[in-house]
Amino acid sequence: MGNTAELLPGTLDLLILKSVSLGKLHGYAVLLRIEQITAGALQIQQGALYPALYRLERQGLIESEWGVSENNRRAKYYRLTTLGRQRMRDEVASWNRVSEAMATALRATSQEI
Amino acid sequence: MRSVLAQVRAFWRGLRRPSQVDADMSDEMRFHIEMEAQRLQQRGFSTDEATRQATIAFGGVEKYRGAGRDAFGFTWMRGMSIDFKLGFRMLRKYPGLTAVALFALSLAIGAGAAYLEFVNDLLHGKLPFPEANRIVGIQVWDQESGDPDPKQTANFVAWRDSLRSIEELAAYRALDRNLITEDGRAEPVRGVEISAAAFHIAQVPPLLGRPLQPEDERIGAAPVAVIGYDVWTARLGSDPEVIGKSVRLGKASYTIVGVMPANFGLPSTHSVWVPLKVSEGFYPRRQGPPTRMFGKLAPGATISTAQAELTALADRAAADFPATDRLLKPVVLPYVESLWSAVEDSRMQILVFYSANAFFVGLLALCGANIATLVFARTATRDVEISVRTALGASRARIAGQLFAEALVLSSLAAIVGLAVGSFALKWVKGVVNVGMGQLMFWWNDRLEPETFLYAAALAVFAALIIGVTPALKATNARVQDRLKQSTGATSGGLKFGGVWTAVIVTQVAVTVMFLAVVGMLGWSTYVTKGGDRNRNFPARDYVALRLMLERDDFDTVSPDQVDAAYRNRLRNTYAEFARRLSVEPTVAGATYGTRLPGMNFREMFVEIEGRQAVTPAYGQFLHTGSVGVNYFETFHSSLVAGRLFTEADGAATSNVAIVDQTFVTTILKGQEAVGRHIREMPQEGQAPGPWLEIVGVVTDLTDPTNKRPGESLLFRPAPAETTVPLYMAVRARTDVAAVMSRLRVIAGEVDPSARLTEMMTLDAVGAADLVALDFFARLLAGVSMVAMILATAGVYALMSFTVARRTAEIGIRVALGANPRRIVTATFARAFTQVTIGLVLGGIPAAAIVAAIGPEVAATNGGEVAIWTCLVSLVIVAIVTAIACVFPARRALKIQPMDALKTT
Repeated sequence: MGNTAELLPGTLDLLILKSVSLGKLHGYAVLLRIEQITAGALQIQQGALYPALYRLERQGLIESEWGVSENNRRAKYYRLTTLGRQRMRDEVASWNRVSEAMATALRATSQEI
Repeated sequence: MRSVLAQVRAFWRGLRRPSQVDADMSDEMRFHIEMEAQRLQQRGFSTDEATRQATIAFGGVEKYRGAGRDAFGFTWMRGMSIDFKLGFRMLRKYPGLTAVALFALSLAIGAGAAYLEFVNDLLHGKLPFPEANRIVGIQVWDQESGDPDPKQTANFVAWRDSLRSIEELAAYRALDRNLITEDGRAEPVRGVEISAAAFHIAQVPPLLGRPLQPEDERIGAAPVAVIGYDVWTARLGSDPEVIGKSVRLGKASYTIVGVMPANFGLPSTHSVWVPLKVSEGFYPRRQGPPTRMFGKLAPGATISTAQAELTALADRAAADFPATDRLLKPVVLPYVESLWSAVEDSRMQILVFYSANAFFVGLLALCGANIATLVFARTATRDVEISVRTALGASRARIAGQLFAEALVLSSLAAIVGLAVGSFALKWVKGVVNVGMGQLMFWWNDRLEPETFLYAAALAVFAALIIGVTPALKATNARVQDRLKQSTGATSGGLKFGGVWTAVIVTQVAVTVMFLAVVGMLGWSTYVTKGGDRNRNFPARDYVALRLMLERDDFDTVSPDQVDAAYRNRLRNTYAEFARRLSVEPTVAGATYGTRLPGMNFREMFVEIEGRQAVTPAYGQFLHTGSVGVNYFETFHSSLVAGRLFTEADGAATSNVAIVDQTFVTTILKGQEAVGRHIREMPQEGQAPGPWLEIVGVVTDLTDPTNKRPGESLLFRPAPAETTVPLYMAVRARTDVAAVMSRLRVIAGEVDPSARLTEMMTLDAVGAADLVALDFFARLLAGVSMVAMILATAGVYALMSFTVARRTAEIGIRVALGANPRRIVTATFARAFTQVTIGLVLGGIPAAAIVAAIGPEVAATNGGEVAIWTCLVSLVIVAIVTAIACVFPARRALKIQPMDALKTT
């Protein structure tokens, strides 16, 4: 597991928003999607996904409805709301700013100081 | 906005079905594990191993379900429901506190809610019609006089056809006539001449026949009438064949075309409707009969669009007819509000009516603060529980929430009890109003409106905030560590009754003293003065009291003076004939008249007595006066004490003679000779004084003279019936009063069909409505002072118990060291004694001031004495009651043994 990293605090919410922004998904599919888009680089405690989903739903960033899964099982599907899309845009922008700043900072050499 | 909505939705879902939400969560997580297991199986794991691995990877369903509940925000709700359960348990555990608090809170909440309901019904009653909120009233104000000008027939006709924002416009004028049935019985009814449009506005289908129609309004159309349910049942025997029959209203005859259902009384309390016949050019501007207007807003129109349109029309009329319409200003208001005549005044009145609610809110706050004292004392016994919970990490808000929930349970119960009691009280008050007015506004009902329930709920929350949160904040702010130490006996400290509670107890003792003194004084005056006034010195129940009026011909073909002269002439003849018929009637023993009958409120007057200027105050001597028939005193068995009675000659012309009662002689003249003295009414605001009158006789009082004040003495003047306004008659029955009543109607109908006998009742019932209202007020005050008293007692008791509980150890040690028990009690309770004493003094001073101010007004000659006694008695009562509240805790303190003290530490 040398190539996986711990999840930074606060990033799970953004990952969930990103996952459901690509289409409606049930909880397990969200997990798979995160694994897929991060190429399995991030470690998530699977159960921790659900409190995060409920919190986002309560904040009105995602909404849910019950449906039928690919294997004909009752499953709860999540979808991004307009508010969620807006929030995601803001979060992404802020994330990019932070990561750029961090990257710049970490690239700094002794000559630049 | 959406996020709030989503939160509300999620919250609501959780509130409705928390177990369903739980089940959904489990299902969702189980699905996840199954899917993961399936994936692992595909990778070659056995079924069991795949499930095991998947469950481990998930990390514990129960744990995440708990976190999920937190994320949903349900946890605190679960906590709340436990708090509420605990609240109910607390109510059962402390029945004394529950009883006191329920009694006090339900009185305060119930009274507040009932009052709001009453005021809302009065000012903003809802008409029981479809689309009732579109029904508006229109007033036309004369800005010169500052009053509404009711003579708007010309405008009504013009507006009826031209207004766009008001689709139907109706007008009406009162038609107070006798309804005379075939058997000759003539009884007054409240009728109106009204536009047929009114029935279209109301959209209430008639029970029988048809409503009025526009054709009925044509000049020359056959006279028709629609009658109300009460007239149909009471006067026409619910005759199903009544349509087409004729009925007489005063002198005119009408064909009945319809019967309206019960609870239809448009415009307010009416039960006979005949068409209002007006047409264009019928009346010049601002002339014609006085009418009121109302209408129905067109779909989409509002009061302000209607107002704008009317203002525009009025501006045009002002330009076209400057002489008459220049200063007229139409005003559109919701229907019920429009019945309150003056706009500016009514806004003020409405404000006054609503702000009176502050009294009940204040009462509730006071009750709440008192109960908070008790709750705080109880909380003190849970000191350890609270400290431990705080130490274990319960937040201050969480503990406050728990105490709030407990208080909310209490105040909600009180609100339910209060609403039930309040709705009974309302029915009763409306009954009183009914007696007073003869009829209730037709939109009044016994249901409580939703606003009232909301208000009661808000009051309950308000009370719970005071009762629960204040003690909670006090209980949680002390340093927990200290209190934990204290609970293990390490040190003294813990909860204290601080300055706030001292203030509460002092205030409640003071308020109780004031309430008791004022209520005592008012109660005393109600009982003695009013009761005395109504204790007539003759068998009042054998007399029929009634008011006699004739229908007026008030059409403006003649001048008002001519109308009055003609009216007086008719009244003289009618009364003379009526009296003659009564004198030969075998069931009638006698009849007389006056502007007032014994027991009614006579007119008040300031007089100047000749030769007594030095004694009478500069503004005159206050007394009561009335004009009466010459046989008034004989009819009421009042006997002559000095001088002579009135003669026929006195009654026929304006003679300057007067007769006074004995109270006048004893209280004003202090026993001096009255006959031969001259007396006159003091001049009022720039007017000349009345003529000098010679007192020719003294008669015994008509009502119980005990405790009468000078102002209650009576001065009578003789007057012929036609100048006696209002003309009240008293008829003494020889046998059955009820039989005489119905006989009177028949005789009056025969003498003059336009003679209206109103306010007919036995004389002992006269003034009963006033008395009932006074009685109600006295009872309300008595209830409030009882609450104040109970709360004061309970508060002092709580303080004492609390002190004893807190100082058990100290007292025990002092007893062990051989201290004198009396000194222990004194020392322990010194603070409480001080608080009660301060309360007594603080309440006693204003109480004395108030009582001294109203004392002479309500009490007779010995007003000052009564005031002092009332005050003293109130003080003593409160002192005794609070002393009793101290007895039990004191006994407990005296019984404390050193061993008990050791046990508690």
